[in-house]
Amino acid sequence: MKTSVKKCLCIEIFLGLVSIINFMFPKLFDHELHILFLLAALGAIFILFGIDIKRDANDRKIMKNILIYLLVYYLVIYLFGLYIGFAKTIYSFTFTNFTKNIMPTFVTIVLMEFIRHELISKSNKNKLVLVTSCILFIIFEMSKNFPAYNFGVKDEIYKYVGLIIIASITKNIFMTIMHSRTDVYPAIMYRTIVEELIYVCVIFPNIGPYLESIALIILPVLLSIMVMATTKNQILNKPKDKRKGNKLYFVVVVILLILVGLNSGFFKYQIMVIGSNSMLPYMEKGDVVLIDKLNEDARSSLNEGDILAFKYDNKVITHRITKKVIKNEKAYYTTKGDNNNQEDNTVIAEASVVGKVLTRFKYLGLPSVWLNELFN
Amino acid sequence: MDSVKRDYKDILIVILLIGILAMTIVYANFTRRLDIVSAGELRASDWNVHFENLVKSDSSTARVSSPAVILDGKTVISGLNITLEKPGDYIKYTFDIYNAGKMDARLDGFTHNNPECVPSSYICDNLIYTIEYTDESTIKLGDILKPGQRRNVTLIIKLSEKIDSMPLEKVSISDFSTTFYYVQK
Repeated sequence: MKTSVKKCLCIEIFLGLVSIINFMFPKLFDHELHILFLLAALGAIFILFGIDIKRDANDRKIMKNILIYLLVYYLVIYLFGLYIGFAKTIYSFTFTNFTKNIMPTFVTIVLMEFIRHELISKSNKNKLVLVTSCILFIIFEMSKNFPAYNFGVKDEIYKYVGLIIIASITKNIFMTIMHSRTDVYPAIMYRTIVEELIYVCVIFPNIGPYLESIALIILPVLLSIMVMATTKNQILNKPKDKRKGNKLYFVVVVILLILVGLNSGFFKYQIMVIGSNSMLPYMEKGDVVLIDKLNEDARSSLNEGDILAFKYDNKVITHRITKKVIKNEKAYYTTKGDNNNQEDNTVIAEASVVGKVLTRFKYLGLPSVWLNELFN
Repeated sequence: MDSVKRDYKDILIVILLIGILAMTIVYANFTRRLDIVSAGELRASDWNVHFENLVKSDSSTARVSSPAVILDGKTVISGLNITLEKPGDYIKYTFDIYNAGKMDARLDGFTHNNPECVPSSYICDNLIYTIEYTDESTIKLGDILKPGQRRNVTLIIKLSEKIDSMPLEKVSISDFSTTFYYVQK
């Protein structure tokens, strides 16, 4: 193994150990102390190799392409926000808070990307260093965000997996591809825009953690493909029959888009997994139901015998309507699970109505039920 | 050919930036009409304001079918199901609002939903709902919660002693909620 590769691996081991120690002692990265460790790693690189950043010919082309992709992405999701609503930022815009919010993140981004770039370039794009540096920064980000999540709570585990782990994997693969084909500036630009926007924008489309994690996965994948095409350094072999391959990708993408759309809850139809046997024999635990989401005007149009999906106690429940009362032109429903002995003890107002169950698909949701039981 | 491609990308970037700027201005003008939820999921690792230590007072006279609980995520208290059988019956809970994050939090919004009573709406007119700090100071916008600080809050739901008559049938009371919106100070 070349000496330069060994030196790069030593620096990676140092940062990897620091990240692992932070998992066990989460206060290690408190007060932005992770910046000190990154500075130490960059200092070590400077001493061992010197730092030498050359501008790459593909730089400007890639930066423009990244900017176009990001602008289109934000334009689309902000337009989508008109439909789904917006969330107001919790961050203040006083000068002190603005600086306090932005600077540590920006310094972290610059240090991480310089370290990554130097490790890759000084090892002459050695495959082992490429892979290990990618893994290192995934672990570093997982470790840095670890203290913010309460792992005793199921929802927090899902968010950590979707928003941190999987998003970090795709992002760091994209960063590694970018650094192996161009220099450090496109990577810094991309991360600065994506990670600092939260401190700059007053409102954000309230897409929720599910769609947010899908977007954080897809965006780096698309940008990776763009970077590889721009630098004309194809890693993937083209399929022998290009037409068949393209048709297959198209079908898979359409199916995935439909599933994500149905699962997100933002459109007229939504799918949900049944979590109990209260509606046996018609529905059982593990079935998936298709719900027709009703707007305000249509919520009074349901009848006895319909299966109502309604919000109760921060959950969505699907029970059959046994009674309907109209009062002041508003409908109130009494419901009962087919398998329960008595009616539910809450009357459902229109505001709690989600929609009407149209049909069910047997057993499709069993993996979700198993995952839920595993975390419970 | 390359310079044509470069020009087209430059123009495209300018158009997209103008588009986003235009949207920003439009949104700023129509802020009130937008469906905005405060805070949402925009939380980074240094923000953590949540509920803790929910306790029912032993002096409560209402019959409790299911107690209130702090749900997963600790930002929602829900599940309360009680029966108020006579005038003066009440339920009393205390809980902490705790800032476990690293930033000062300021109370930016405090909204209270009016409940719905079915079938007898006059019950809601006789429902007394009190939510205040346990030291009897009023909850007001701008209240600050520093990192590590907690404020104990008392919640009382009471059927007024002055109610003229009790309904003959069961009255369901729903859509009862209060929301605290905290932002960075």
